[in-house]
Amino acid sequence: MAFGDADASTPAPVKASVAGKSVTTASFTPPAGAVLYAHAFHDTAGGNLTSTSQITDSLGLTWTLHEVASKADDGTGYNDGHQALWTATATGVAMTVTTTGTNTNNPAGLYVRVVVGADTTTPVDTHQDGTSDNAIVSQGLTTVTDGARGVVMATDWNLAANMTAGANQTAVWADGIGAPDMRVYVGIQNAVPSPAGSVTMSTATPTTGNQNNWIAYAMRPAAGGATNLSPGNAAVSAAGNAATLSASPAAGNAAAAVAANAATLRGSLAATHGAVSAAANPAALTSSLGASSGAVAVGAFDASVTSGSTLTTGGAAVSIGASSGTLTSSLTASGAAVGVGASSAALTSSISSTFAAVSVGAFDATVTGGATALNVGGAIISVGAFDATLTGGTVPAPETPVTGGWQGLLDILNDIRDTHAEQVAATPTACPRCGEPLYSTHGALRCRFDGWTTGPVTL
Amino acid sequence: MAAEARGDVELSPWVSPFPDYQGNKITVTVNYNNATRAITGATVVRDAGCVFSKLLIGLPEVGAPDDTDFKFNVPFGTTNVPASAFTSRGFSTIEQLRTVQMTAGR
Repeated sequence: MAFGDADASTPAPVKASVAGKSVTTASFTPPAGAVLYAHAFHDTAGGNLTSTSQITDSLGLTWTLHEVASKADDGTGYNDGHQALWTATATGVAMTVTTTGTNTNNPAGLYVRVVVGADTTTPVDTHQDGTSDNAIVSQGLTTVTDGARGVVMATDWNLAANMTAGANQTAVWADGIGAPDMRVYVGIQNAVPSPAGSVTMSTATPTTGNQNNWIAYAMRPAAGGATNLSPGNAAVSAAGNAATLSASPAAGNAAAAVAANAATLRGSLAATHGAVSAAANPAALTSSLGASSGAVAVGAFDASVTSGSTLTTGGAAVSIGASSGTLTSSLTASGAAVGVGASSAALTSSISSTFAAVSVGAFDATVTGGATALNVGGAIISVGAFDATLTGGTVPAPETPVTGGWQGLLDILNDIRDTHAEQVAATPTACPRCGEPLYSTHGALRCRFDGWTTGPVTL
Repeated sequence: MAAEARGDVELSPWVSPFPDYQGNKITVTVNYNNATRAITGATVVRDAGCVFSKLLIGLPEVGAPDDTDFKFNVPFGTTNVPASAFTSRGFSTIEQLRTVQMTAGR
């Protein structure tokens, strides 16, 4: 599960047009320590300058208001409609959440997103609000934390149509609330961005007839969780999802996934670190491995080291499963690109010293590229049914001639045949049946034990 | 369907999606007579894998929406809901139905 994905406990959105100007989620039980991002929407009367809203819950948690987009909060330049972003930290107990409007119209809507791994002290990395008419929603953000993930919530007071997601984003909730209706929208970035920087949260449609207000923000990942691991810590998922590490771990840290998804490391591994997937998906490393580090996939997919990354000392890109171990950069000392499964071990760069590209499975071990070279002690080995291939570069000359094979077997056979012929042509000295020494009599050789002779006896 | 502007009479159907954490959803489509506003029936579609299994309509005076006495168990796939299911609860028109809150639950 990537940072910012909704936890399974996330309740369904709720909407209504009730006299109490409030809506309440169904009961849900978020994990303790999860951050609850509440997106509250309320319709307002035309020209309303006094609308407010308040989030409450059945447990009496403390809620923090981060941003409001409305005429009351931002002035008459904004459109009608009221929306607010609140957060609280979950306690692990079943609860409901309610938003209640004041000086609003009756229609209301609420979407509470449960997010595990968010920073409970500063759950919102950055936020901006805005407004537009006859246009899409579009808001630039500059995140300050690596891995902070963008979200946009918006209202269209003129009921143009449900909003759709902008580029590289997904609509989480797009609907109309109450009666008369008001369109509401929540969308999120498809992937966790790294490093921190500029992002644009937007919608794609509608582009005309709408009167938008919006709040764009980024959820901040917890320090020491997905980022900035202290020594001995790990970003680990033992379930069905990914472990993602967006920053550089300190010594002895790892990003590991033991289940069905990927372990991804976007930062650097210093020493004795690993990006490891023990199950069916890739272990991907897009940065450098230091000493004794490994990008390892034990399952059915690839272990890859890409994009100019370097294995410096003792590093390995290894796949024991059915697919390849791939290294597209340099192995400088004792490094190896190894695939033990059914596919290839591929090395597309140089092997400089005592290195190997090895495939024990049924396919090729290849070293390619014009600059490829196997230097001292380098080896390219395939034990399976296919070729070991070196394209380009040089192979060190063998120190002794290579012998053996079919020609050697033929030579042995010919030696045996010649020896047999020589023995047949030679005068015997012993009985071929019992080994008794022969004696000469009447022009022939005879065995005194069983009577064998070399020819007719002349009497 | 052409986009409506605020103040226009909203035309049938009234569609409401309730997505879960993976985006699988229960979608309610309420059909009604555009002239009389009378509810003529509804369909409820539960996507494969959706963790929500109930449609919760209304909020009890005490308790959570889960405790409402107007809720449907929603099997996977499409379920047709007759108009009588709404009228028996006092919701004859679409405007009446909209005056109570709607959500999905487990």
